[in-house]
This record gives sequence, structure tokens and C-alpha cells, in this order.
Amino acid sequence: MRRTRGRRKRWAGQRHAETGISLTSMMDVLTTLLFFVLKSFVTGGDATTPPPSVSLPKSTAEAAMQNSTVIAIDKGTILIGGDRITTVSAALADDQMLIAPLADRLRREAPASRDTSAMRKHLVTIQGDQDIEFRLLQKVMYTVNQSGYPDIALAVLKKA
Amino acid sequence: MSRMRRKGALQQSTEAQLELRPLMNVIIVLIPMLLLSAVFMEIRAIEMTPPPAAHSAVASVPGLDLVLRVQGSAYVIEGRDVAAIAVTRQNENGAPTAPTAAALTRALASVTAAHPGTKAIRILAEPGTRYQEIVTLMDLARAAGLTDTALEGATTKGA
Repeated sequence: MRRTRGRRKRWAGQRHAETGISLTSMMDVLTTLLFFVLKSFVTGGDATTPPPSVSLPKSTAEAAMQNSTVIAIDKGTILIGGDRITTVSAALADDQMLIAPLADRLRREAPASRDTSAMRKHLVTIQGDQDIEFRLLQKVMYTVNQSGYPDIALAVLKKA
Repeated sequence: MSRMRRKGALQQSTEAQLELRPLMNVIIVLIPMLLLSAVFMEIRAIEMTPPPAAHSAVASVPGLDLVLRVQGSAYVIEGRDVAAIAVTRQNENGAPTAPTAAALTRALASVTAAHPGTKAIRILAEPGTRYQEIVTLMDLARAAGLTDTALEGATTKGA
């Protein structure tokens, strides 16, 4: 009887050692979750994420964003892909409708872009702050149009 | 002898298991961090016609040539064969107030009802008009069935 008890204990000990928490399945779940979260950051490229200094206007528009060249306009600067192109005050101070530094950058940007689908459509998305004045928006749109991009989209925040 | 070898092989294989805990710890920290830094907002796009280079192009607009003009303290809707309708301009946080928006929607809807098939409207804004106000006006026009919106300014210097 004692011998059997001893065997049982030994068995139980072995079984206990074998049934330690299996981390492999947990790792699978976490890795999948990690990739999912990372992918949700990258979806749509830079077209979807406006710079932190830009508060987009709210709208009832339903059209989805397309991958394109993105111009961000905050209260002080005009940016393309995170690069500061010119200041808002400099753009407004000029009597000309064309914003020269922006036009130069857009012309350089056009052949360099790797995304042929975006360039085929020649689309520029403007991520403008909700408080910018129309005369600035008009100048930016005019410059975009003169730089060989006939299609313009305005990025907005969907109203809740 | 062979039994002992098997036992040894079994022990070796259990010892060579990957140490997953540190990796798991990193991932468990990473996931909440990414989730916290994520901005949950839905971004949409308004595709539109850019402003023309000069006013000379405006004269050749066919059809009703519907215009929504932002003019001081009023919004004025006008066009060919359309009697001008003025709506008082009252703004709150840079956008038309709810009563103003409702009055504008009614006025635009009455024009589209009287002229079925009209889809185009030009929004003539003042140089100082806020972007949010323009976007709201575009929304109101779209709600009234005017899906083809174009933006124009009162001044087109140096074009």
C-alpha cells in the first residue's frame, strides 16, 4: 500500500511538471494582437494621421481617404510629409496666389512618389486646421492646382 | 541502455525549450502602450473642385450657376432664374449655429426642389472665413442634394 502511495506521489509530481502553463498559445494570441495594433497604425499611410498640431474640421462627409500626397496646414506652418515647407505668415504676406516653396516641393514630389495609383489620380489631400482662413486655403489650393495636381481632397473628421 | 538514451534525449529536448517569458513581458507592455497612444478617430475626405485662377472662368458656368455667398452678416443664395435668398449668418465656434444651418438647408432644398437635377454649387467665401465654416457649408449643400461643390474666394490677386 505504501509502495502504491509512493508511486502515485511520484506520478503526480511528474504530471505536475509536465502541465506547467503553456505560454506558446498565449504568445500566439499576443503576437497576433500586436501585429493587429501595429497594422491599424499604418493603415492608409500618412494620409490618415494628421500632425498633432492640426485639428481637422468636423464634417458629415462619408467618402474614405485615399493614399495621396498630403499637405498639412496648422496655425503656423505648411508641411508636406512632416517637412516644414513655409510659414503661414510668409504665405499670407506674399501678394502672389502661388506659394513658391510649396509649388517647388510639389513638383519635386510628383515623380519621386512610388505609389503609382495615387500619382495616376494626381490627388493631393489637404489636412487643414479648422481655424485657418479661407485666403490661405485658397492659396494652397491654387498652388496645388498649378503644380500639376488637378484633384484635391479635404481631410475632415467624421461627426459623431 | 537504449532506454537510458531515450531518457537523456527527452531531458535534453525539455531543456532546449525557448524562454518565452521575457518576450511575453515585452509584448504585454507594448500592447497597452500602443492602444493608449492610438487615436481613435474616423477621418473622411471631401473631394472637390479647386478655385479657378480668375473670375473670368466663372462667366461660362452652364445651367443654374447656383452660388452660396458668404457676405458679412448673411449667407446669400443666388443663381440664374433664382430669386436671391438671404439667411442671417450666426456662428458658434467657427461654424453656423443650428438654427442658421437649418434655415440654410431649407433654403437650399427649396432651390433644388424647384430645379431638379441641379447638383453644382459654388461657395464664395470671404478671405477671413474659417475653414470649419466652409466645410459646414459644403455639408449643408450636400445634404440638400448639391453634391458638386466648388470653392471660390472674393479676391483672386496675382492669378
